[in-house]
Amino acid sequence: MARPIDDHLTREQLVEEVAKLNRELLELEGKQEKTDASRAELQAIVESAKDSIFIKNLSLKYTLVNPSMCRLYALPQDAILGKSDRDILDSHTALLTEEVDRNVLSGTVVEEEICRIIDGCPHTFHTLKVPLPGGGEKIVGLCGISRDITDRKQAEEALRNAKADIESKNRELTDINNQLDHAISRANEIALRAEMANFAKSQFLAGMSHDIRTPLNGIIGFAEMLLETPLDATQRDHVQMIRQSGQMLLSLINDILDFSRIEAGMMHFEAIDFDPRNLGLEVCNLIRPKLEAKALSMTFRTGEGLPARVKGDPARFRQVILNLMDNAVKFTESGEIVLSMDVEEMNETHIKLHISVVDQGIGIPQGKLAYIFEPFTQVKRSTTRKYGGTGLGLSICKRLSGQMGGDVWAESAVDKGSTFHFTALLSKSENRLRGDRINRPARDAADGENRNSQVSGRSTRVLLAEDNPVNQKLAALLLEKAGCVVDTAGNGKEAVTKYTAAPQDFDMIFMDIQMPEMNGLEATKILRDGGFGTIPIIAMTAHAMSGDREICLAGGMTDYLAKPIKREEIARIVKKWSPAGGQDSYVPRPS
Amino acid sequence: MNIAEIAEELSLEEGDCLEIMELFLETGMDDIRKLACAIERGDMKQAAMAAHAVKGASANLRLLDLSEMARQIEVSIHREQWHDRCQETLHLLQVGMISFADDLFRQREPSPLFGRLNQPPRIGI
Ligand SMILES: Nc1ncnc2c1ncn2[C@@H]1O[C@H](COP(=O)(O)OP(=O)(O)OP(=O)(O)O)[C@@H](O)[C@H]1O
Ligand SMILES: [Mg+2]
Repeated sequence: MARPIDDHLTREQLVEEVAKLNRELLELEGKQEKTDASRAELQAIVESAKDSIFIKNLSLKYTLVNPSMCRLYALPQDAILGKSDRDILDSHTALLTEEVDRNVLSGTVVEEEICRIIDGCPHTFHTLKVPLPGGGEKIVGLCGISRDITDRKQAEEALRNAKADIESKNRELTDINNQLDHAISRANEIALRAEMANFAKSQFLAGMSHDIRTPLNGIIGFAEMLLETPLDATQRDHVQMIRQSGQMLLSLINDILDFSRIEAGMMHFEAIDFDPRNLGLEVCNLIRPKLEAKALSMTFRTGEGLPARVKGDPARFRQVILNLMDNAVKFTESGEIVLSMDVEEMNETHIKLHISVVDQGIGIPQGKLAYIFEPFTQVKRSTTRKYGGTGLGLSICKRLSGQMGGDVWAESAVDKGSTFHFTALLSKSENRLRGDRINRPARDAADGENRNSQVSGRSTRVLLAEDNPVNQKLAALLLEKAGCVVDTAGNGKEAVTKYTAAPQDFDMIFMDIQMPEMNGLEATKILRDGGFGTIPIIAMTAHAMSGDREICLAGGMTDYLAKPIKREEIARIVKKWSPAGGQDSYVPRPS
Repeated sequence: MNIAEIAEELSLEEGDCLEIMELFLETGMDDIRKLACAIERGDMKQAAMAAHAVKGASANLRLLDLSEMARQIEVSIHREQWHDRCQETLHLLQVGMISFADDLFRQREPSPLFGRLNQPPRIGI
């Protein structure tokens, strides 16, 4: 690097400068070669540096500029050397720069970022300016290194933007997350409520089938009876209204029950023989009264080859047809309703029936055809007002038909009418004879059986310890049938109390294992420990749990009765452990 | 559910059978209510007891669907698969109970006056 040489040096200063150079030269003497090499190296670095490097003297004139600096100012080296910024830059920039430079000359290292427009583009430069000491403390100029950091700046800027972007995205995400959390907890809350509501609904439905249906039947029945009596026109109207409302409510209740049963997969389908034609006629008979108020006629036709017997669930089969017919009548003012029944397919074992119901009613817009099979949907809101109903009918039909291996669908033209199709896969009846009645096995044996099962002679007296009222009642009934006189206890403690109070009154104890308060094993232990070693104690427990028998016997019990309770088993055990032994004339029911 | 068949299987008169069924409806509903509350509270012991009671009683009455569901709940409880499966099965059990109630009421001796409305005549039997 060339030494800054000030042309305004005083004589003394010059002397000093020379002296300094001398000193340096002397210092460097021995290392001349090395210094030359370092200097050349340094020169090369300065020359080839991408950064602009410059040296200004005390009067802020350039005494050194490297090619990068020249390129930056777009001036040849001679045009810069010996000049100050005032000669090169605009006066405003030059003044600012000068101020900074003076600062540096007073001994401070300055870093600055300045912006210059080059070729019409803003460029940012980072400049480091250091004071250049001569010999000793004296400052003789400044050296500057300036680097174009536009790219870095831009990258930084981009990074900042990206960061800000990310931050705002983050904030958004956090917001969304919060919302999600909120929604989830809300959903959970709703689900919980729905759960509770569901439970309440279940309870309600269960109650409904009894509590509502019974009085409702009363209302309908008495309304019907009232209609048989002399009434004036208004009264008749009103009573008919009562009956009709009652019937609507009843069918709604039935529908809702059916619906929840199907939804829960609890709908059971029977497989019994029935005559489809008969069933069609029956539906027509049920529908006929509804035709009277309207100018409607009804036709029932059966296709060729319709068998006299098929096997399936006639009640469900009828339910679907009845629903479709009901709709047809409901949504048709005049014209004809045709119910047809055809065989669609048949093989060795099965038969697919195709039922169609054609009406000439208000029809269904094309767009709504798919929806009407959804629960609680009706074509128009006004439907409910005008025609009543809840919109459950078809959804029930759809599900029932599906479970019968068929389908329900519709075609329709508004104001022309609708055709509803219903298919169901039924089994062929094994019974070929038309009109055959299939009877249940006769149940007439019951009386004689009862007599047979009675024990002659003294009855066995049983203490029955069982907490569940249902099991208690069933066991008591079966024990009585086996010729016992039964006294009951609701838990082990009660059993112990009852027995110890009057041991002579009992021949045998039947003991449930799992009971509240005191279980069967505990009760047995107390009895056995209390000196009642001989009374037969029969354990009653779920037979599925293996090892139970051993536990019971090890616990001092005499024998073991598996649950679910079977009559034969009870009878066998009673007989086995009765004091009368085998003398009882109990005759087991032939199975 | 067919009362006549179950009565036959249990070798009870239909009247007795019906009576027990009604008893079961009452106590079973109660147990299921307890079961639901216990599950909600997380009271395993109570829940297991209630499920056990329903299981046993329904098995005795040959209500196999109900018994199986109650058994599943009991098993889940013992395996401490607490909430995963219980709720769902519980709901099924509840519906099953309703279904049972409905069956029961339909099959109960219908009054001669109203029976016609409630019970369409069965054919084929
Ligand atoms: N034959 C038909 N003609 C015109 N529209 C019909 C016909 N059948 C059904 N619909 C339309 O489909 C809707 C749904 O029928 P769906 O049987 O499910 O309910 P609903 O008859 O209104 O009430 P519910 O049967 O529950 O008493 C009806 O409300 C009606 O808008
Ligand atoms: Mg309908």
